[in-house]
Amino acid sequence: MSNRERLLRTIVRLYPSSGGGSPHEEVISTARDTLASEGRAGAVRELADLAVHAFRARTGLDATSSPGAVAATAAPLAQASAIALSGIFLLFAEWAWYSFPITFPEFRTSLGPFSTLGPIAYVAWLLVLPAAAWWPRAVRPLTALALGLTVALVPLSAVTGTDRPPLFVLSALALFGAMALAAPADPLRRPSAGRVLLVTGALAVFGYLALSMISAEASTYGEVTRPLWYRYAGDIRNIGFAVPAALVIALLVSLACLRRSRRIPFAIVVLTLPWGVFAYGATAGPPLGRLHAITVCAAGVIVLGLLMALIRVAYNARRGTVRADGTG
Amino acid sequence: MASTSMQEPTRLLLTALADEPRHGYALIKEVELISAGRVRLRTGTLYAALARLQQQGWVQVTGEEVVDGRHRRYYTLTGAGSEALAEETARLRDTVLEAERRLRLRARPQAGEATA
Repeated sequence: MSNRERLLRTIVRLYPSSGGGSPHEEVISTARDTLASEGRAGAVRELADLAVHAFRARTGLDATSSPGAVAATAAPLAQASAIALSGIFLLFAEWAWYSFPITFPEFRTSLGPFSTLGPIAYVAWLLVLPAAAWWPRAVRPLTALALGLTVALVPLSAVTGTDRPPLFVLSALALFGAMALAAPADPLRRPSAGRVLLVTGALAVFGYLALSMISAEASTYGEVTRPLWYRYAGDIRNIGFAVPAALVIALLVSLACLRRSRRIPFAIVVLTLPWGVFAYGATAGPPLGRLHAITVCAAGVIVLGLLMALIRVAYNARRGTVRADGTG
Repeated sequence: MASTSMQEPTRLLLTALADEPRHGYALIKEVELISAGRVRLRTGTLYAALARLQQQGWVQVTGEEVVDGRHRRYYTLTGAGSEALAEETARLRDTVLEAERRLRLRARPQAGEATA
């Protein structure tokens, strides 16, 4: 047995053995025939595609499953949230385009005119917005790039000695990115189907965050030109409070309209987790310790996984009941 | 009820199944042929799409066999799948006819300008 054949069999074993309509031997036969006419690069792409779909089928994050449908519903809003947060931080926290009279030694080593390495990831996130408007096919690759850069800031900061944004900011962005990439592509929907929601959502969340900060500043100090701070600032605490409050309202509205769509309440609950990490970090007062922040992020991922598993179990149980009744 | 927003590979897949049942590899080759080489389905993508179409009730499995050590499963369009494809085809035909009509209208004044 050749290495390619061995790798193929290992990948196909990822497919669940029951359900999904993809018995192992059939997939192996088809893939083997396809690989026979492929060069080295084509074979790598073929196996990578197979691995992604097998992993999705195994985890229940494909277009036929309920968790996949929830992830697809949440994805545009997750991307919108990450874009809006990136815009807020890039404009108000990183870019020292206006000065604050009192100097706080929050960050020691900056990146040119920026306080931290954050703009590297923020700009990547912001590129998703024009892509959604004019080039829908680029949205997913750009989201993957933004997620990769967000995660890479942690080791990059350690290597270069330049400061990075706090972990609760990066954790929230990474969770939003992971959520967006978890959404499966539905072959019965155009890739551009969620782009209106993404663009309007990003602009709405950005506007909402900016207004909530500015109004709080105006009412407290009578001025609106104070830079946003990553820590110890009422501004960021306002974001931490404002968004979960909006999500709770959205959840209540979606529950009231449950008959129209059952996915939306689940999607909102899933979206609350990254915002929860952000709100916790933003309102905790003293900066989170590294271990603490990683623990909070890991707990968020575990809760997210459990939630998706729960949705899957509930979905399968319901489907089984319907079939047993003979109505499915 | 047909979706009016299906992706092109899905439309090609349904077209490849329109005349007779086919197995996975035959579907990949048919889609490539119909699209004149423009669309090449990968194995993982093919089976994900088939699973979704089965869930939608547009495609079903009609048989299995082993040929030369290769396991083959045959897929075919259901009645609902045929209706969906017919509706999608009619929608595309309307668009094509309208585009041709407007292009003819556009061509007339240009021809007139050229002779003037």
